[in-house]
Amino acid sequence: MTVWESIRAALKMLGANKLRTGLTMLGIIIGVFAVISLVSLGASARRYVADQFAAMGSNVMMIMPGKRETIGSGAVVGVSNVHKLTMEDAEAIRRRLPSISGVAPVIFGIGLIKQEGISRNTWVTGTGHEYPSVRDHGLATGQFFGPDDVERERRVAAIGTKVRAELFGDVNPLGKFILVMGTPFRVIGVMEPRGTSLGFDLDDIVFIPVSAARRLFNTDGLYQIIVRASSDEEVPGAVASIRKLLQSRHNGEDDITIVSQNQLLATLNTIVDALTFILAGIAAISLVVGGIGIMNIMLSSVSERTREIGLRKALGARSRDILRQFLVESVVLSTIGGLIGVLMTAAAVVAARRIFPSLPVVITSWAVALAVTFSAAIGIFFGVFPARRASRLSPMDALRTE
Amino acid sequence: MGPESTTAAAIPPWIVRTEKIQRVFRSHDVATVALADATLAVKPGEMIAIMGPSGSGKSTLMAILGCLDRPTSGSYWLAGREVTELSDDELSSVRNRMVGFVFQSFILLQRSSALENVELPQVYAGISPKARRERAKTLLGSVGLGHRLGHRPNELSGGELQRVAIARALANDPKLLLADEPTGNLDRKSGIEIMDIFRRLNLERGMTEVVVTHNAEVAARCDRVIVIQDGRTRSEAEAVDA
Repeated sequence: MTVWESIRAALKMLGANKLRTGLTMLGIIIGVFAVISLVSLGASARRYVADQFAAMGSNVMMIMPGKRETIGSGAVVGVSNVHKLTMEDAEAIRRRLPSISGVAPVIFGIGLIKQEGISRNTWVTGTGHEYPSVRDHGLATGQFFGPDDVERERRVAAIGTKVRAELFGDVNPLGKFILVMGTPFRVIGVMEPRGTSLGFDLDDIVFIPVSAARRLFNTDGLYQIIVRASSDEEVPGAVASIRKLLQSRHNGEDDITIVSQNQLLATLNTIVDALTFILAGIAAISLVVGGIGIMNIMLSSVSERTREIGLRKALGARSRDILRQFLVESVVLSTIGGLIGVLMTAAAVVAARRIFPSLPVVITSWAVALAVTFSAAIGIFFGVFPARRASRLSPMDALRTE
Repeated sequence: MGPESTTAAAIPPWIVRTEKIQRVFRSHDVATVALADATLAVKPGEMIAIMGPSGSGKSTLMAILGCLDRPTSGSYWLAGREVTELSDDELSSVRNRMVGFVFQSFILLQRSSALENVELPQVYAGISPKARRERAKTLLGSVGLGHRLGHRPNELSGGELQRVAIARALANDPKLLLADEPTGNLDRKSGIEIMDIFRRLNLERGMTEVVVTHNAEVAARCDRVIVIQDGRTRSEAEAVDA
């Protein structure tokens, strides 16, 4: 019997009891659907994170006060005994490290912005004139403040598109004044829209000179210093030289944390991957349960068809012919289930793309290949036992079974 | 072939020859002797009946003659070949090519057509789909079912079912046709028709046939009767004497 004939015979048997076949397949369908969709979801999350970081530039580093084991942009914990990062630190990095192409000191907090009776709580970011180039965040109209504005503590502001839309509507904001925490600032630029990055809305933001922000927030320490290395290759060297420079400036204490985008990306990817594998592992359990369902149905099929097995043996089937017949049946069952699961995932992806157009939903091809192969393997693994049982029946006993 | 199969006793004129076959079934510690001494010989082209009451061991003998089971001891030559020591796969091959079975309860694949049922032994013989389809058509035609090729068993009468089974038994051109109560599930008229087919096959094709039955009318239509009692074979004459 050729393989194709075996498969056709198996399809015929499975088609003879559609409800039972369907219910058994359902276990595999759900398992495959869960595995592929969770792995694909993980891959989508990975791609989403990578896209976010790619927009920021991979040669960007962040310097934060305090030594932290973990990285992230959460609140600074236990900064009492460390040196603050100061504007002078930022200036020193700019002046003395040639591997750094731009430095942006950052102070930020939430402040109330007002303009002709409309008010809004938003992020107020005090920074230096190099921020647009460091962050690769250009202007839509007008200009960013220059070194002069920072040095002379001028009250000028560049606003995000969302702030502009909320406060000014269709009116041209250039030259207008806004009250930032009660102090008037003149709007000199509107930033390009940048959307959300890791949950942080980069368009709902007001930029003012760091010197002015220092006074506004009444602090002389910086939240962080963002620096850009002249190239990706310079990043490791830049990290070392920044550390060395700031250590010498901080009485020999190594009390800063430097996070490069690549490092942050790698950490996030590790987390996403770990989550993906945990979820996929849980989903794989449902595949195994589906496999047990197959074994169950194949065992009852073997006992129902004992006489058929006896007949086939009487007519010349060898044990391996019977083994193959039942094995092909369980593999066809599980593989069709797997393929249906893949189709369902594809349908879910199409639906997800409609509902969340911004999310880069992808279907991972290796997950598809793996799930289909795995479901076929489950058919073999859980089919072997019933098939062996069938193949070992003595033809005489099998024929006598009622 | 082993040396045993070439001994003088094993060379035809016998198609079937058994020597002191014993079959003992053991379950737990209880041994049941189903066959104590089955010795018989059938010549090519003979049509014989094996008769005996239920529990006499005729089903067991039938299973051994059909290579569905192995004797506990004794020898069995089928067409000159000692088959008691063959492996399972070799026995499958012997059943496939040398023996045609006809059962009391027909035993056809319910979800397959008459044609597919007749093709089944050829499937295991590795014959191409086209060739076996042609052969199955011819065989069904020869038992008068040329118009029922595509019918499934549930669409056929008892007599027709048994004729499909006969066509199936002939599929690989066997040396021996083994029938186990072939008329047991049929009305009298259909039974006579089936026995007519057996006789015709015997006369026209020289088919060697062994019919296991407890029906005297069926046995009477055979050339010779072997009686089995308490697991021992005797000729009819001996049985009558006893």
